[in-house]
Amino acid sequence: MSSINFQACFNNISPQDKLAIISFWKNSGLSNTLDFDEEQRLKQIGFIAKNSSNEVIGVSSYYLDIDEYLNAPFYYLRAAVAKKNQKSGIAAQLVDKMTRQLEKVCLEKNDTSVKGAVIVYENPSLQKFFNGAVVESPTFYFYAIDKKNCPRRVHYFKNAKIVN
Amino acid sequence: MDNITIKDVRNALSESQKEEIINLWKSGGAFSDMSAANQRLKEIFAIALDKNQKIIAVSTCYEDIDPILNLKLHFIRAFVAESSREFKIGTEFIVFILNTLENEYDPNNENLPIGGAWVLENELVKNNYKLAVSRHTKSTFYGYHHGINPARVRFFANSKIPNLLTHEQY
Repeated sequence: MSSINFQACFNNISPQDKLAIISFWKNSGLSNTLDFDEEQRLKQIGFIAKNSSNEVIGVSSYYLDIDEYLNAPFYYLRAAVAKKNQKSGIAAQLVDKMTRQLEKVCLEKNDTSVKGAVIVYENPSLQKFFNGAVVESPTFYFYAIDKKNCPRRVHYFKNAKIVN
Repeated sequence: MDNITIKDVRNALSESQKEEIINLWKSGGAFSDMSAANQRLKEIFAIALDKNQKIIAVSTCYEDIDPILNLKLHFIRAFVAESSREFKIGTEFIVFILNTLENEYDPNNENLPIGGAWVLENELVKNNYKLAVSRHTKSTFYGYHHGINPARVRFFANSKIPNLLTHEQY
């Protein structure tokens, strides 16, 4: 893990990195299987992870939406890691860094409209591995099994207030 | 909370204490049907006593499947005499009960509830519990019971989601 470089993007990605990310998506099969709009997804990228050869081996992204269970706006987080680098904690670090950065920005802007960040484990192996009701760093709490049978966890931003 | 003592009374209430609790509930209009009060007596977990050893508040706890999380949880309720409501005894009950149950929790026993929850129904209390994460009770908001009443939970240390349910089961 010492040779992994995590780079913040947040809508500020160089043309070379854009190509590297698109290539990562294609090589990992994500852009074929998930059928997403690459340009749109590029705008949502939070962090990328690069190895010592400067290759993109992991990407995290986020988007804002109203959570149907918690009835408030949350950032939804995603992370993808190259197959050969999975189970190395890179995805957890990408999520950790992105959550902290999103929270920091909201607190700095005094933006209380977004209540926190939500992560949905779609991968069955991850669902089994991360089966704790509370997952740490940063703290995510289980709050629902969604309509796709995926467990959802939420990290509330500091001093977030619920909508009554 | 000075001069107020919270006491675990599970299966340890005397007949005179039961009578005192029924009278407390009656005076506060807690039940329209007193046969429900007799059932509730079986669920009493803790009482709060003033300096004269008078019961000024009662908390109950029962196990149930939460309709949102579809997990077995302990559900906590509290009733506080109107004259003592400024002492935040309800919150202290929750902390007391959760700490007690968490100490008794065995993460290897899958039949046990994995946390404790409570539902806010009173409008005044709802306004006092707006923070999504409460440091004092170590609880978090997780949804609305009946679509309107905020529900909060503290998962016990090392608790696991027992199994992944299908959406039909959920």
